[in-house]
Amino acid sequence: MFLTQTVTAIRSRRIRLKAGFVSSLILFIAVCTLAVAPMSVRGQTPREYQIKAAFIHNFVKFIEWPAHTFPEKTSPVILCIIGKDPFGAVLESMMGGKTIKGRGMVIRRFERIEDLGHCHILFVSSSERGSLTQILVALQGLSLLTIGEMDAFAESGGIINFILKRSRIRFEINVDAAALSGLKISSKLLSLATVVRNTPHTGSE
Amino acid sequence: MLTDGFKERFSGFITLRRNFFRSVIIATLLPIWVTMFPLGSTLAGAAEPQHDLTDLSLEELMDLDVFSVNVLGTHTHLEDEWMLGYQYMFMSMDGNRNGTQKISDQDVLKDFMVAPTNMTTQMHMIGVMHGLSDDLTLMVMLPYIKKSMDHITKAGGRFTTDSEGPGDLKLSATYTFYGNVKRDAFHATPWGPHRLLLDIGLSIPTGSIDEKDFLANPTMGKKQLPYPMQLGSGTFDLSPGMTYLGQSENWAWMAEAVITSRLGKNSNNYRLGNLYHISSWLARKVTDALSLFIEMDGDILENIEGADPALNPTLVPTADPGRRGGKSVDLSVGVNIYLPADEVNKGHRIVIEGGFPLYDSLDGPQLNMAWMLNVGWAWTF
Ligand SMILES: [Cu+2]
Repeated sequence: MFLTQTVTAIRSRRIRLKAGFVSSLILFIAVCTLAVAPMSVRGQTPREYQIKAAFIHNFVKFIEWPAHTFPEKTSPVILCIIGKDPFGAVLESMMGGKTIKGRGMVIRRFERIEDLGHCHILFVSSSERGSLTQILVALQGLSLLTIGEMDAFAESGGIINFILKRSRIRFEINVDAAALSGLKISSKLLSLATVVRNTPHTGSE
Repeated sequence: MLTDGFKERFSGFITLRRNFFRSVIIATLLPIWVTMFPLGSTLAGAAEPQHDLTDLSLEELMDLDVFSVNVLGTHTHLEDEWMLGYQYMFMSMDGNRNGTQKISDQDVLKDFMVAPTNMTTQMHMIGVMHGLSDDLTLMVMLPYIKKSMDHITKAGGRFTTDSEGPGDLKLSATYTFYGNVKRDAFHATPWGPHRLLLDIGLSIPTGSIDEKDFLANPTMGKKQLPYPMQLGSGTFDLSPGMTYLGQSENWAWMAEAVITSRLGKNSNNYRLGNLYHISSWLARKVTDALSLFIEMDGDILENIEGADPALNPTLVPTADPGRRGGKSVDLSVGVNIYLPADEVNKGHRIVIEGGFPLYDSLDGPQLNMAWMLNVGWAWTF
């Protein structure tokens, strides 16, 4: 008897409560869903990499490769990525159909440095942090613009390193490494960069 | 008859608990629910044309924010960053409640000589924040509070009491123990970086607990005002908390739990009840300068321990230490406006927020919140 009374009491009170609480909850969820509905799915590739891809595209305008690295005047710039690709489809969709100084761009992806073919730019993914020294040693003497996004990348001999300053993207340029690779970097690009020099002894990490 | 009353109260209690905890669970699960959206769309493979950034110059690219939805409430600053903030809060309480039921002034006057009818609280708060490192942010906040409460007496007379002055000074340290907006390891997820913050706050009793004013009969002189009209807790209060923050390009979301506990008794022989607070919000970027947010707050406030000997708990419910506790869930919506300066991440932010109660269960009779307004300005430099 006690139980039935309790249940009845719960029911009668709950109906009153429910009306207010549940309706406000439904309203709340509806508002959220409406807000979400027109949401763009740009999140597929983080905004950071959309911006970094645009940076890379822009770098090409300010860097001169030795003529022998291109078979012809209209040969494309070959952008290679080693390791886990953070760009997703952004590079293809961004570079597709565009030319920079009369050249198109081709994107190639590699798992291991041994498989690397002919490239003009090599983006070294953060997944390769552990083997950075081997990669940079293997590339010595090549006219290759190396781009990374990890601590001490430029100091270790990489050419351009992306850094995050507060919530914005900045980059470092190792001018010694660029000179060794035979790349000419415009003063305009250097003026926007933090200039880094080769540390006397690499591989201290 | 007595047992029936008990049974009804008991059964009501179960229902209230269930409703309250359901609200609490929803408020907690909300961020997870929201996280599902970017995840779901990724899985569905829905793609939208990327905004073409290749037309931008290097300088323009350098001006783009990677994480463009700013965060409100508990947040951190980067190393060497300073923030100066001002916040104005207005809260209106109207009518009494016992449990979840609204009750009339006449109901209150059956048991008390005086019934509070409504109350307004205004707070001006200034705060300074500083990033000691990217992982540790310190904050100092001092409120200035103005309270006003209207009453009705058994004889039908009406009177108002007022109190005004500085509240309790609050110091806090926020430590990021998981995640870092700068660290690349967290850029790999399509829905942005996740962070966990540990927060420890200390409240210094700078607010008065001896506010007095004239009551119904001014010839009796100024009398000690009841608990909700006092400006401080009178005790050192410790408030440890934990915050989860998530961010994507267009969204930011947060869930937080904070416990405020009072250290010892104050000079008037009581301590305010502990406060258990959870909240979550979801913010959606509309433009680079504007974002909207929706917020849910859940609170459990315990009753006062001890009693101020200058107060008579049978006179008015606000003077009864056993009628201060309660549970509530509030919903608010707001807008964030950014006025960025030239320099990185520096600039002004304005927040306007309006809130109303979704659910209240009070150890009453007790005044319940009707609505609140929050206007804040923050300058980061
Ligand atoms: Cu701040």
